[in-house]
Amino acid sequence: MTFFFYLAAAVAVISTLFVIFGRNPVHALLNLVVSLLAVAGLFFMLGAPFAGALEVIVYAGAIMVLFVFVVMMLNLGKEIEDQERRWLTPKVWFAPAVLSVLLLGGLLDVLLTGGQTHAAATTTIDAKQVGVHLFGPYLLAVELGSMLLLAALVAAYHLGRHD
Amino acid sequence: MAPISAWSANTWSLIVYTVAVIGIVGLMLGLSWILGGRDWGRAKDEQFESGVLGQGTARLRFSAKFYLVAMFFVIFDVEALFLYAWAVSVREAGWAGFIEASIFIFILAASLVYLWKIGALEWAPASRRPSSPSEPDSPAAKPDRPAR
Repeated sequence: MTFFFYLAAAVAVISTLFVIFGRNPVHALLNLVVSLLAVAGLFFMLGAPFAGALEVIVYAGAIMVLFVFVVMMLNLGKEIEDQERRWLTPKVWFAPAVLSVLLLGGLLDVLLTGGQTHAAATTTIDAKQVGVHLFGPYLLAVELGSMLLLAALVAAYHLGRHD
Repeated sequence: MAPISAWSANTWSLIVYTVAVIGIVGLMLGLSWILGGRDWGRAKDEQFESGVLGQGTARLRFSAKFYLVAMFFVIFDVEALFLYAWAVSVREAGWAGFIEASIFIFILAASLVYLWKIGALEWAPASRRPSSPSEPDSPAAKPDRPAR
């Protein structure tokens, strides 16, 4: 279990590095899919299978497919790779890298000193519990969510069509 | 290392599923790699052997229509997730959950019917669609454009 956890975490980190340093947008997106799948694996091992399934279905499945779709439709060619090479200078990635290292420090503090973790991290919350709560006390939120999705569908069509 | 009993049955079935998927994909790709013929030739890399030589690249821009369809897919996917959460807890959620899910599915269906009615799910450009009263630029309205 612990081994698989660190394996999935390593896969997530390495594939994300490929995303950052990849020059071809489509390859970067495919690496991002791998990264999201690894994060989904982490969710499964942390006892949140519904969050893991969400990660696979929505992020790796739908949103990444949307991104790949768009990038492939834009039909970026060789010149984009040259542009990427010119853009990825130390001046650009230095500040985000420092911020990421700060986050890593916090994570290592929790991991090494066994700091205070939230109770949710030690219990398994499966899809059934999520469903019981969504369709129990949070009925109205689901109702509002359906309205929001309806509005999103209508708005997506009317903003996206061109005439 | 956590004991095996701590793993839920879901996790095990997920692992079995993953292994089966990888196995099937590997089998399909491997078999076609082993059994498939491979040969090379001077004209093998051309699009049409003994045909017209290719000119230029195959890079062309596609209509934003396809992007719209992908967008609808994402939104309907999120709606399916709500139903997934309801489906696994249908007994626990009780009648209140059932009524709520019914309203949810009704709104979902209403949005689908709306998108269908306004022609958002049409793939073809407006000039190539079969004529309908709601389309002002259908072939019937534009006789100078040949309908294919």
